[in-house]
Amino acid sequence: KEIKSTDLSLNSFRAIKLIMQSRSSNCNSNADSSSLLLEAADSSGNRMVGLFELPDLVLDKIFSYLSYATISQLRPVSRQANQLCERRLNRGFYKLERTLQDSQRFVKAKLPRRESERKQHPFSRHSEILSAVDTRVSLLGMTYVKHMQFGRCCFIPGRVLDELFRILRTVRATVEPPRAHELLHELRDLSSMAMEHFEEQIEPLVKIDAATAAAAAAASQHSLPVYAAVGSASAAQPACSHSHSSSSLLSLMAAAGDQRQLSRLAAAAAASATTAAPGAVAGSNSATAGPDAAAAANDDRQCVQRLLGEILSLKATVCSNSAAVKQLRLNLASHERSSRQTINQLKTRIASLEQKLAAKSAVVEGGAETEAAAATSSSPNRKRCSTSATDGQQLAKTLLGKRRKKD
Amino acid sequence: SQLSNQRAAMPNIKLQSSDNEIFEVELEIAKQSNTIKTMLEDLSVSDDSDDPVPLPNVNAAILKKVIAWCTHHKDDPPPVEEDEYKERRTDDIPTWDLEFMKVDQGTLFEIILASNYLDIKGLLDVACKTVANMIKGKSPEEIRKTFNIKCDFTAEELEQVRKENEWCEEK
Repeated sequence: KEIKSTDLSLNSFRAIKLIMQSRSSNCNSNADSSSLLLEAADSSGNRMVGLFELPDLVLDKIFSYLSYATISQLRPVSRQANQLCERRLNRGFYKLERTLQDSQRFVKAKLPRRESERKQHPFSRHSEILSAVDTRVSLLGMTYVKHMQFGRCCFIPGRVLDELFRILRTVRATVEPPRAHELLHELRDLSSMAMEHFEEQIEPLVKIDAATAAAAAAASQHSLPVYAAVGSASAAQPACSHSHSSSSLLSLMAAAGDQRQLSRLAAAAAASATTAAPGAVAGSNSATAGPDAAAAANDDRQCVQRLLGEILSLKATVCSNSAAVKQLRLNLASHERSSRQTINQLKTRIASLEQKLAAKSAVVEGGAETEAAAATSSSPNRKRCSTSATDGQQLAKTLLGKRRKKD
Repeated sequence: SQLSNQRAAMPNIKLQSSDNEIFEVELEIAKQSNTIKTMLEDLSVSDDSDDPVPLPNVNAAILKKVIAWCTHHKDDPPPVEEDEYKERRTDDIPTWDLEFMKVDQGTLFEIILASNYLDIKGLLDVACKTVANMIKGKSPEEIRKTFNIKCDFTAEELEQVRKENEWCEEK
């Protein structure tokens, strides 16, 4: 019996040891992941744990005590901080959408079905506020989510998230919330500012990042490097596969914008000289993967930079050529117009001349008859011939001419 | 003698730190750690078991601090689930805990790791709030200084992040 209990105790002890060790290995999963901290050591010479080396769960907990505005301000601290904060901001937005849906469902369940009764219901104001918030969130979603999904950027305006959560908390906790326009005033201002700034300042750069990333992806499908493929596009007779990639590049660039965009492109190219344009954020993810990955990323960046340069020069050539073609077309059109006018003038002149000719021939025939009649009859017949002054004059002239000819 | 009798009545448990130091604590205090509690329940270890529970992730200095915190909070009510929608405050740390957390940064992070490993919610909350308070109201440069972080952004990347954040700056 004693032996049995000792066995059991030994077994449990081993199990405890195993459990504790496995838990310790789970908890340490983050510890090796980063080398971003400056090497710091405590008094005993052990390396100190850094803030961003703490496990994800712990960092989430710490971040849960910070406002989203503070989290967005933490982004410039380091690449790792940026990654963590971006993830947290994106999750914040998705959490907001879920919370809003929950609140709407809750309020909708309380409201009566009849429109007339709904207006009198104590929850009508809640509903009004929530639908206004829903509109704002939809607008924000349309602005940011497509880029968030492709990892091109995060949900940048943390302060807007704070404001939205504040409104949802107010709606949830208050029996009679303030009027919608009072409660949503700050949200309207902040979200408009954020969306306007994003559309004007950030989105053009993000689009270029996306275009260059797509170009790099398209070029990577071919065996030749990206810049070689683009270089061949500028040559007179590009190879088939190359021309495909270069045309796709040009179409991408055309999609990115026209002449107006060119200046932005130039600015972006300058900015991305060392930045890893195809998503600095995404690039930074791979920065910790190891020296090989970093070198590969560096090569990719250089390729992308060259590619950008080529694209810009091609775009400039295309723009200048298209301008020349436009001018030629205009010239051609004006030439056509003037020649048409000349043709019309000539036609009318010919027509008038033909009329004149017909009239003259008629007069000649008439003159011959008159002369014959004058030869046989006396002068009273002349009165009939000169019924009109002009006809008479013409007749006289023709007669005179004919007599001269006879003489 | 009554106190000693009471102490004798309280079952104890031995905890072994990563540097092989053994601490004998009351079972109720040790059970504030959900890891230890679940383990003891699942493995039905008897109260009079003399084998120390190995804690390979916690050194003696930190385990001592953790035991001190658990001893001070042994009569606290069990922690309640936090409301997801409620705003989380960091200015409600009790005075004793504030004093307890006045340690160097390395020790603070070790306490956080230990409380996470041992699953002691109260201690983890207080430690995380302390770190959050260290972050609040500081500029990125001040945070780098406080937590000894190297900025590994290139100038262009930093400019891009700054540009993204400038939407709400007063001009």
